[in-house]
Amino acid sequence: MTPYTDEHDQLRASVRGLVRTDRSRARENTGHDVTLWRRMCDELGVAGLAIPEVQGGAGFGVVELAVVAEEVGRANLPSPFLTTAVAGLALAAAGEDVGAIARGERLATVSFSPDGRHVPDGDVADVLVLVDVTGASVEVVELGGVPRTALTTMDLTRGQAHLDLRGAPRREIDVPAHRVAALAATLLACEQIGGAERVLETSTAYASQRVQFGRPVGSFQAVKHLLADMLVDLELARSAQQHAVALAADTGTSAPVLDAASRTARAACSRAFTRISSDGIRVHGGIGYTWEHDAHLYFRRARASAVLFTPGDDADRLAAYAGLAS
Amino acid sequence: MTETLADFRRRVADFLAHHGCPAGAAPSRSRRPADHVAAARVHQRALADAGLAGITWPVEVGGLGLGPEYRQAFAEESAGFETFSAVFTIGLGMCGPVLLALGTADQRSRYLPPLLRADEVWCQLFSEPGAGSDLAGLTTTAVPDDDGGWRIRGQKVWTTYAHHSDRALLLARTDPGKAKHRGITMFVLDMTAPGVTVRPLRQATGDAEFNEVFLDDVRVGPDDVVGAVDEGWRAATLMLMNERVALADNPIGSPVTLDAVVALANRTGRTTDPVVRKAVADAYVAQQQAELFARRIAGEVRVGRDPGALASIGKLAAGRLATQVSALALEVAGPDAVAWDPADPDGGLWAYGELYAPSLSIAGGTEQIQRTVLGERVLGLPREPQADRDVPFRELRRG
Repeated sequence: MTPYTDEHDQLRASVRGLVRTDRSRARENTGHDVTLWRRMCDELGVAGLAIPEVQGGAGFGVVELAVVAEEVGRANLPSPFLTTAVAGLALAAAGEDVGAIARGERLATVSFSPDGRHVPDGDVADVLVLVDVTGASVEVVELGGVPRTALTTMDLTRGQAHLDLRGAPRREIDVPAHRVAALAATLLACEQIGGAERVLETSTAYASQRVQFGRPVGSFQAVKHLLADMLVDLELARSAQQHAVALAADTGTSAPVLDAASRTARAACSRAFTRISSDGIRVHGGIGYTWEHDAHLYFRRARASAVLFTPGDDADRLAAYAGLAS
Repeated sequence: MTETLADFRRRVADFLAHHGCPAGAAPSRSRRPADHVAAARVHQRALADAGLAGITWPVEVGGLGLGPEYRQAFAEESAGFETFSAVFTIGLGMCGPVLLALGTADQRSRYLPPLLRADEVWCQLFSEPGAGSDLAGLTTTAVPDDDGGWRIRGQKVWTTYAHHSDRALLLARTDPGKAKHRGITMFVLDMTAPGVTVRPLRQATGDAEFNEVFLDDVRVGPDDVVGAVDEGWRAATLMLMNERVALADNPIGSPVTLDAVVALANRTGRTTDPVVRKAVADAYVAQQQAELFARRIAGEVRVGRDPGALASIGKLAAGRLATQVSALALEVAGPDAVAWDPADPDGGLWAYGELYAPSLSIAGGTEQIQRTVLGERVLGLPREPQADRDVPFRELRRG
């Protein structure tokens, strides 16, 4: 059922060991942790994990990307991993030169908004993969001379920028738009599951330690049941996420099946991470509402992630997949 | 020599082609309950005659002695066919495995073959008016007779299909001087024995699938004890574990499915209303998650693992989903959902689903009990302080 094997557990342990980080790493719009990113690329090769070996990558696949995305989400790590992994794989599939991207020296990003607004990691990326799902076309845009406005973001762990793409050099590349969209949604779901899982762990630990009225607060049903609901949300969403990962890893999956599963995973994991990170603040009480604690950092990431890569037609498409006529 | 999985699949497919009852074609559980149970008995007997009953049960009690992968193959082949799981979950899924694990050689050879052929249908006499969520608080008593037998006195309730059952596994208190979990014994009970009175209870839907059962000095023999005297709680725990396994294999959901609601919306032209589209999308996402999670658990069960407390998640998901989908049905159907022409054969379906949904949040352990189980056994949260541990049962406060 789970797409993961023992070898994936080893990869997971390596990534977790490396990214174990304190919340001071949460950037305040000053860019991600470049030193850590170099180590992730040099020691674990995360930027080129799924890029074929002949193109300078490690030749693994979507399942390995899923493991890393879960760990990045778990650590709430400010990292360009998600965007550069998705965009890098799209460029590799189109036969582009991706050697520097596979080494993590060049950062690629991906966006679904044609006007260049709200591009994730658009403040640091060198090249943009611009996906038009409706028109089924994918373009690559060099960002070297592109004017950009780095945005102030609710999520302190992922930057955004408005890019002025007028006059930027762009050309179409040959890669199925729906596959890029599905991979972006699926890996985002992995990040969300990782984050939600971590919030549930820290909240459970806190409720087991914190004593009021002479008892650990987690022994009170009001708190215990809140945590149980967080667990239910997490495990239900995880089922949708693992299903989407398995389908995205299989090149034989048909376009509608992949689209339905990845949209379902995004919707499920967006809701689960939002609810869990919000209730995580509640379980921690007053301390959870302060900058002393990182509960709010997860909540910020959950709210911003819930609107990332969303084409705006999820409700319409998911209703169609349920069989509702148009 | 063991039959290959491929041969077994062919045999199952062949059986279903000749004797299978397509889902929805059997007499309705709700409207023709007696016919439904009769059809279930016929179906199970045909399965037994074809050598397909008791797939994982030992050969000496009439089973096939095969591994769980054969049960999985059977489940896959029977997709789209009626399995009558509502009638058989308790007998074949719960009582049978308990007798296999704890029954004497005599009990196994006497009870299991007719159970497998549905010559005898079984029910579960556990819950009582004063012992629902707190099952170990039961007060039905079994008092020793002079000849080594017992006399049972008390009242049971919520007993599914008691009025169609031949036998039961019953829990009764045999030593009120011990702490509540330690003085309970499990017995086999003949439902036709003198002193057993079954009274159907009408449910919110109007159906009467469960009953009150009154036990007035019912006599059971010394051979009717299952496992050891005063160790019935262990037997009960084993039975409830098998309930989780059986429900993971054959989840009980609402009769109102999302597919049916979508078909209604397509028929009535409510397809472009953005509120309906959003609600259908939300229900679809919830349904996908519940289904994929159920598949995860069933995968565990079919390789022989106890889904344990995680099965509580599946139960909570099924309850939430039924509530969400039946509410959507009422939204889409509008006034037709609550008042219909008596001549319309599908007339009451949406109201029925709405009335059925709350049962999934109560039956087999309330949502609150499931959350406590998840909090304590999966998350490892500290337990609620307990006032009834290690106190002799007769000294406990009850009411």
